[in-house]
Amino acid sequence: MSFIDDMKIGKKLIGGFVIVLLIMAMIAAYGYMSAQDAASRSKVMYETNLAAIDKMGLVSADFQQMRAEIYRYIYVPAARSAATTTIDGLKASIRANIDSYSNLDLTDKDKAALNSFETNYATFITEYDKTIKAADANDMKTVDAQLAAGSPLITSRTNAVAAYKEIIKLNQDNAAALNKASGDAAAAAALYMAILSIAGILIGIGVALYMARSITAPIEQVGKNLKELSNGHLGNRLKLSRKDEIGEMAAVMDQFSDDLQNNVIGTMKKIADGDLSTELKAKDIQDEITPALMTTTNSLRALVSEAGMLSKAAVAGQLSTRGNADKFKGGYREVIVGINQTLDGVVAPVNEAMRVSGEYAQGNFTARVDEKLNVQGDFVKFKEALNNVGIQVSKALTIINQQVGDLAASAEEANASVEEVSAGSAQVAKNASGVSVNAEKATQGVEQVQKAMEDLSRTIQDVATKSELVAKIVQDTTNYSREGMELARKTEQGMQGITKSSNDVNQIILEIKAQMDKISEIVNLITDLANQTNLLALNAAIEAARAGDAGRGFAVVATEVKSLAVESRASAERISEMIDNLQKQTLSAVDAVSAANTGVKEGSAALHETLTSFNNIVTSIDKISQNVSDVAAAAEEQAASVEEVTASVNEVGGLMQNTTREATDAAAASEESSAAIDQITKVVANVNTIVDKVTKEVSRFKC
Amino acid sequence: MTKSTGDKGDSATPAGPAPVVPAEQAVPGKTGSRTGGKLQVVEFLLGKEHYAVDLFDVREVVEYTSITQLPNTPSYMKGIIDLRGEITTIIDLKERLNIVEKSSQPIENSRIIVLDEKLTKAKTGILVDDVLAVSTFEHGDIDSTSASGAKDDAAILGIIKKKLKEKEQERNELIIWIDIRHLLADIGQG
Repeated sequence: MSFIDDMKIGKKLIGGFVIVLLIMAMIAAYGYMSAQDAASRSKVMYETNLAAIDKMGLVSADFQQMRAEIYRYIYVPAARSAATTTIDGLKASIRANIDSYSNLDLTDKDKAALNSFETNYATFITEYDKTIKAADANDMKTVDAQLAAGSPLITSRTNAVAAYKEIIKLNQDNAAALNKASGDAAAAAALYMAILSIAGILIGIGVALYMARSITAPIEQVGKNLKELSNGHLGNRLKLSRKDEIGEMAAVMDQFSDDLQNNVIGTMKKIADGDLSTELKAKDIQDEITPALMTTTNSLRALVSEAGMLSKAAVAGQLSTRGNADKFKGGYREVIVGINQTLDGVVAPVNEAMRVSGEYAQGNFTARVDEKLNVQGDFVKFKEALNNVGIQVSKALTIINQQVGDLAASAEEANASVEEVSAGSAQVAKNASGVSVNAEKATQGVEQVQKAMEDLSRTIQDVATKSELVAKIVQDTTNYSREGMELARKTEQGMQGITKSSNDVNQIILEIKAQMDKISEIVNLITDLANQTNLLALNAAIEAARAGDAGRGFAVVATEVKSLAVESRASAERISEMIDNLQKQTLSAVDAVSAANTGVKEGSAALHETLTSFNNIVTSIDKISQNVSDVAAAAEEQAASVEEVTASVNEVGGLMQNTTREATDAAAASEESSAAIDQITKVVANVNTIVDKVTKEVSRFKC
Repeated sequence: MTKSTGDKGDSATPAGPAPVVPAEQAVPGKTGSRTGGKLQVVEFLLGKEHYAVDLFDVREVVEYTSITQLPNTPSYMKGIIDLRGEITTIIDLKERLNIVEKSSQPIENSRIIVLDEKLTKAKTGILVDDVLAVSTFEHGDIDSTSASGAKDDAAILGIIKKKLKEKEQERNELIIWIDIRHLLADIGQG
């Protein structure tokens, strides 16, 4: 099927559509033919069969009327002329219908039936006319004979009717046959149409799928390749053998990939590796890639040659050579300018260093690197190092000068000292005998110290004795304090007893108070009763008064009851007053008891304080006791120290005697030292000579 | 009044000739129960002063009981109580007579004088501080003229002079005899 791939896409699409259209046209043509077929059948049915039936229907109707008219003609003589006209019209009508029927496209059967009808009809008309004539002649016998069954008239009439019925029946059969044929044809047509349609749809889908695949598959391939290209993968090629537009597109893309991979990227790789020898030519005026590559190559070449020139000049020591930055643009220009600046930065310090080194070589160490020279980075260290050489050498020379001067002075001083030592030795000898005398005097002093020590020892003994006495007194005091504390404690117990008793008293008083409250309640009850009685007496008095004479005796009783009630109330009130007084007194008793309680509490607190004071006294005495013990211990320590001092003084006495002996030895030694000093004087003279020489040499350097 | 056996100061004195006091004769209020020159009264206390009403206007004396107050009534209409199943209207007589003085006793100790039914349409009692006695006085002990200076509204029938023997000395105690019918007529009870 490669010829399809080679076709242009437009042609492919048109070809597909044409195939589909052809299938549709076939289906339409078949449908049209079927429709035409059906139409022709319908026409036959309408034109032949329906017309025949129609004509024969009219013939039948006319024929029947003729049959009826003859009876009217025979039996209604008045209407004969009208009947004659009608019969003639009917005859003409039948004739016309038969004729028009015979003109139709008739089958053989139709024609046979028509002939049968014509024959019978002719006979019928003849007999019919005979009958009419007989009727005209009033020959009723003939008429009756004609009208009787089996007569030629009736037979021919029956045959004629049978004939045109036969015709009608034939035509109906024909129409039914045609109808059936049409139905069969329609069913067949529907089936074929369906088969054709399905076949057409399947073919159309097949064509569409194939064409779609033949277009989209290569386009997807191209798309994939473009994606690869965009990712920088240049090794892929499509290599499609098609000749349509997609094939052309693939071929161009392969060529572009080749170009990109071999020329552009190849060249760029070479440039990256430092190979600038590649020469390329632009493909046409609009090519941008190749000229850009060539510009890059040229710029790099110029840069390389400029850099090479500069480095060669620098190696040859031509420090004044500089690169030409005007030949370059942008970053390349910055490279050349940078190299120039580097050279400037290096050359100036080097020149200055050369100058300063020259000065140092002349012995002038005061020379320094020019402060105005602008240096940075490592050159600062370089500059400082150079300056330092000058500074340090100057400093060293100065120090050497000074030291030599000092040495000269020291040598002179040594000379003088040696002389003094000589004199000193003589003095030592003289002093040694003085020491001997003094040592003896010291021995006497030591003896006096020993005596004083013994006195001190005695005094310390006294202190110890007195300390013991104090300790005893302190012990007694402690005992008295303890007794005081004991007494205070007993007193406190007594106080607690008092508190308890007063609490009991309080309790009893409270009980008395409760009892009195109860008495008060009872008195209130009595008062209440007295009031009630009083009220009753009043009401009794009112009742009695209202009763008049009859109530007079009762009134007296009521009055007496009332007076009793009043007395009861008065007594109750008096009791109440007494109880109130008692309660007041009870309250003051309670107050007194609580006051006593407060006093006891205060006493208790005071006792506590007393106890605390005693405790403090005991603590203080303990401290005193401790201090006295410390004093005794200190006295003993002093005694020990005095003994040690005595021992030391004795030792000093021994040492003094040694001193006397050694002073004598010293006098002898000093004489020996005088000889050694003479030797030293000679050495010092040699040193002086050497110092003079060194001074002369050093003065040559400037510093 | 033949004698005043009142060393307790408040004793009724039914002694002497028969007073003969038919209740029907007491109806004309002015004369009260004065018959044969004698007057029987119930003495009671309002604040510090002693007052009296005609005995035959009194039904009984009862103790104070809690009073149910009625809304929208004059201030002297103290309220109502249930007295043995009967609703009894209570009039505060001190309020009615504009006596400002308060009693030294708590209100529970006050008394209610229930009035005779023939005086009032509804059963009525008057609230007083205390009821002292039922007493009988001679006509001569009553001074009707001294009260005439007071307004008619005061409803004072007269001043009764009650002789008292106190520490062997006689002195008169003044009792204000008031016309309870008149007062009740003002209220609309009469």
